[in-house]
Amino acid sequence: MPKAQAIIDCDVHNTYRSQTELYPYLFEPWLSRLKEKGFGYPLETFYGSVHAKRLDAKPENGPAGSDYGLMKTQLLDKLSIDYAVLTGEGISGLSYMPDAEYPAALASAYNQYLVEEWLSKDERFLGSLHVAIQHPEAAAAEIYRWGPHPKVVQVSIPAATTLPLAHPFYRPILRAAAEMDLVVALHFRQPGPSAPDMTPVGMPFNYLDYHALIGLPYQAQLVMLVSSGVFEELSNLKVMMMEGGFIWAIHLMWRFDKDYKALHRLAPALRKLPSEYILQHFMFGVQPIYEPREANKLQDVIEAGGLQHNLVFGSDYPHWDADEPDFIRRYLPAAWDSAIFYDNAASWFKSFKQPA
Amino acid sequence: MKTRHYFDALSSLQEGQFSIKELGNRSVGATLHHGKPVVVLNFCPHAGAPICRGKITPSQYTDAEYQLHLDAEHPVLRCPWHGWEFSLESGGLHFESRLRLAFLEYELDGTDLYVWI
Repeated sequence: MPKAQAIIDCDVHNTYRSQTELYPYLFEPWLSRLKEKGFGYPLETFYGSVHAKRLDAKPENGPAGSDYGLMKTQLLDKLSIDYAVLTGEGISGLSYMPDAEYPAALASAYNQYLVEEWLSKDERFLGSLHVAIQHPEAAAAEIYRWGPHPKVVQVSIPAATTLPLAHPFYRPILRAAAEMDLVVALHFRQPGPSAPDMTPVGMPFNYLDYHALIGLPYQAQLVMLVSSGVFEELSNLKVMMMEGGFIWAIHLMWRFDKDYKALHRLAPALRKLPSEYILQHFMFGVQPIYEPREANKLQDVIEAGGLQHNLVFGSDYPHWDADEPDFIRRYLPAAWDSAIFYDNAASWFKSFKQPA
Repeated sequence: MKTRHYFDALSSLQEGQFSIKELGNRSVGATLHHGKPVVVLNFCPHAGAPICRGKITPSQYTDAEYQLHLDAEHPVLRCPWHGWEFSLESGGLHFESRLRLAFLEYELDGTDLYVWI
């Protein structure tokens, strides 16, 4: 029997059973504040007519994603996942809190909790740090603190930010990630009280609109990251865009190249076409997979943009729109299995590199 | 070839909620709808979820005057993963699709429910 395709799942949402699991890792005065007030801000905005997480993924004694045993049965073992990047749950809402010190302390507590209580549990687990991006110095310090850990491979950043990620304000975070060889993974978050508008026309009316428009902030980030020249400054900077779709990236490669040819004086740091930076410095998650009526049309579109080496698999377990590998395979050719389920991600995460 | 499997006593079935049994390597769900058994394969034809773990809930529709209605008389089974809603009566979706709930043949023997798989 041929060996099954090895799989790296780039997006698995682990979480704590309750906030009390963070207590051992939090110091005062923030510990008292968490005990008294919780996070203190509502981090969910939209009412979804469907549940936010798979109903069958909820363990008896906590939220979905909080029970290692169930995750092992339902995801790792069932789907023969070889590596799973733990991307957290809810914790990235820290970046949308109005204050800076408290969320930075919570992020630090979460990261230690992640390393001690999750990464140690299973050889297949890899870790994604969380940081409070409104406090770039503290965020960078977290990245330098945990970057050397062999199982920490990336840092999660919310897709929508109050300033473009390419703005100098955030440079300490990007620099730290590039220096520590961590992937910068953009995940969308529901906008909390101090989050930016998700669209140029204001807030989506509801969860359906919001979910259909998730790709918008990713497009803005991608364009300004490229045009700013940050990839010339930080040649090792790698940006993984999860859950935001990718067909728009083909639109941008063609449009951005065309505009750059005329307007290159406005992006003086660039040494090549925007599309070349995009193909070198960005990966895109394939989940939630596009489901065109004619399944093979998706392959045609991806080939038109030459994007097949820039796609990675992330299940998004246990969220409601999670995709299993076989479901994604219905829409992609078997010849790309190895690239999308393993090779593309392995070429980026530091854990898969041979020591120099 | 199909074989007959004992599911459970009819009296153990409930309106509004599926009971789930493993029968002959297949997972099967059964519930009552207006007092009649509904027996389906516990497998969502969209992406393979254990669909009987989903909620049975009133269907929602808009009438000719665009008034919104919830219809508990014609409930849907909402998938526990992607939330797709299948009619408990026709097995179909509210949009055009070939996908259907897989209804299974059953029979009542006295007070017991048997399923053919």
